[in-house]
Amino acid sequence: MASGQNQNQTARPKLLEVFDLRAYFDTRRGLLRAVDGISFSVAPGQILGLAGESGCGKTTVGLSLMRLLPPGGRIAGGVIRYRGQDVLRMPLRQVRRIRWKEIAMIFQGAMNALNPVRSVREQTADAIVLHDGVPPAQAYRRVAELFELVGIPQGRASEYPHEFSGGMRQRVMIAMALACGPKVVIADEPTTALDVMVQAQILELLRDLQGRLGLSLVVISHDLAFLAELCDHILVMYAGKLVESGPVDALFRAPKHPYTQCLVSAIPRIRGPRVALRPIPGDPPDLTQPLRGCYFRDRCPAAIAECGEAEPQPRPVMAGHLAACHLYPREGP
Amino acid sequence: MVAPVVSVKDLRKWFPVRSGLLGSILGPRMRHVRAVDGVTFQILPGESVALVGESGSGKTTTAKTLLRLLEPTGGSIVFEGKDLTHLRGRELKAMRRRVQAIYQDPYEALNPRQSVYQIVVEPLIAHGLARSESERHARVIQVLEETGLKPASDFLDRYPHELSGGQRQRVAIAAALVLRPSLIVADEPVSMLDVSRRIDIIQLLARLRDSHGLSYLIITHDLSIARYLCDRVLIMYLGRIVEDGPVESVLERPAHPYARALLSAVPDPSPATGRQRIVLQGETPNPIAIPRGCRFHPRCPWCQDICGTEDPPLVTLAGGHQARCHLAVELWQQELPPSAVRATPSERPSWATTPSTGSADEP
Repeated sequence: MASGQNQNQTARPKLLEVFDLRAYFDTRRGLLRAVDGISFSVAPGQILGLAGESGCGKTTVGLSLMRLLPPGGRIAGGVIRYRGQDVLRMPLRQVRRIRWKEIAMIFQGAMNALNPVRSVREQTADAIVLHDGVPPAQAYRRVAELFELVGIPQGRASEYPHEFSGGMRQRVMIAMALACGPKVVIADEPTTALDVMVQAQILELLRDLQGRLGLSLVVISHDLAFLAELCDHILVMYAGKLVESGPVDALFRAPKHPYTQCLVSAIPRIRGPRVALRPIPGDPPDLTQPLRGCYFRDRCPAAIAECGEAEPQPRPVMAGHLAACHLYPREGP
Repeated sequence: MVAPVVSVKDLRKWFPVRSGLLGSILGPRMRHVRAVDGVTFQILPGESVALVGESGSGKTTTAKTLLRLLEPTGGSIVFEGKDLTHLRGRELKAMRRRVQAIYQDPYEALNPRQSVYQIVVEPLIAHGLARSESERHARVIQVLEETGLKPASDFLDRYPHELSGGQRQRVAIAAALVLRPSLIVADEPVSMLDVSRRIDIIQLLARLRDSHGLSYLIITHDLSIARYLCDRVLIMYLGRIVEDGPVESVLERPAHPYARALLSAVPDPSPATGRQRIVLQGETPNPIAIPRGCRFHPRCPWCQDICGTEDPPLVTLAGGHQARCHLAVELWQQELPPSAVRATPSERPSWATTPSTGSADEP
């Protein structure tokens, strides 16, 4: 991955491009800027990680890509381009040709929202009939292939969600996401609330599916260690902004943004020396309030005068590696 | 020798399985879910012990039994010198004051219609501990400040929905701490929190342990939490403790294959560790039908002939480190990779029970 050539992110053809995406929510306390000017791209076959704490806007980015923002939420600006087509400006009829068929999503916790009175095979087939309009017999054949692909034994396909463990239910969700043959799959917290061993199984499954189907994955998680093992490239979000974007090795070996540095040093490790954990003081800002400068400055151990005045923009700090921080001069190293 | 705070011996908790009317008439024997099936451990004063295992390993049932939310089927739990397995009435209530619990999800554990003050003062009233209103008020203030909710007066009238996840967990800790317990049982105390909040709570729990001489039983599936908070770790699989030892010793040299697999499955943000991940296939078997011999043998990458027939004893290694495995000594003494026994452990079908021992000595 880490070629010496500059901009290896841009050297690959883009499947999905996001420019200056803004997604706002109208709340009782005012306008909440959940996602406020995020740009990134996804190359074919890439596994992109989207990291950050609760409330940083990472799920909203995923929902925006699907054009599935909940009521009260709206895209306030920016461009999402899938294979050159402008997803945000196309009519809903056209969106439906992309949603699930080109870009699919595994929603957070959806494995706990499976229909309890339909077998897992039936409800997966329902989804295929609904979206592809194929006859049921064909849908059931497709379910058999999908279950095989995600490791659900044929003998268990007629079971009900309550007979499945969390890991097996998550496999059903993955099968459903793959049902219409998407090129990009967004997985929101795919292993949260699962056991370590099941997490490892799902991680291997996602990696295996990416390889076998040539998928691009956008994996949203607050678990940096999990992302480190799965992804090629990681975006770190804070308070609706992109603070750092880099290849996984560089990002973990030498994080540039103080927030990423804090996050990385906050991960308890089970290997290597037991270094003291450093908590990040304070709380993320209230995104309904007008803010100036760098949003992280109140919690930042390295804040300088400039941080209170101007908002830092993401700038290249190394090949394919961006950081939005005033500590890095405009020219780059 | 210091007397342990709690000493659990051969604890069993079996749940009867109802198999319908016909089954109960015709079935000669009742079947049971053996959730906890012979668990033995001790916790010393001021000691933090982690109980680690997958869902279905019985770790939460063990904790509930210890809190006497469940009555054990067999075995004994001696807490501060008294067997609490069959306590009733006043004695049970007195014991409850000394053993408190913290749960995974503070949002669910706190009553949304009670203010922080009401939540924290309630245990004092229930146990009749502080007689006057001013005494209670002082205790609540003190305990809130101890848990880092400062100034406490700012929090007294707030409701759970007005607090962040970390603050809610602090309120839950304050409500447990207000009774001055000697043992706190915490079930996944930080797994619902963000990474940055986790450390705060871990450090708070460590500080409270040291300042109050508390003992902890921390139920978790996250070994890294165990490393930062606990002195000793117990690894549980299918109702039994399979490994027990000082936390660094277990993390550095796990002797039970399950402990090894569990450790290797923990994701690591240091990309250059070059470790071999052992991903066990399948899931913890149904505790109604516990495998013969070693309970772990159907999923074990190191499985031998003997494992399918003989239940391994608890083998003592060194420095209080024990493991329940026929190969414990070999695994602990030398780096015996699973590949020395079988080529690719992760490719074995789950429930493959044919053991092969032929290549054990090959390089």
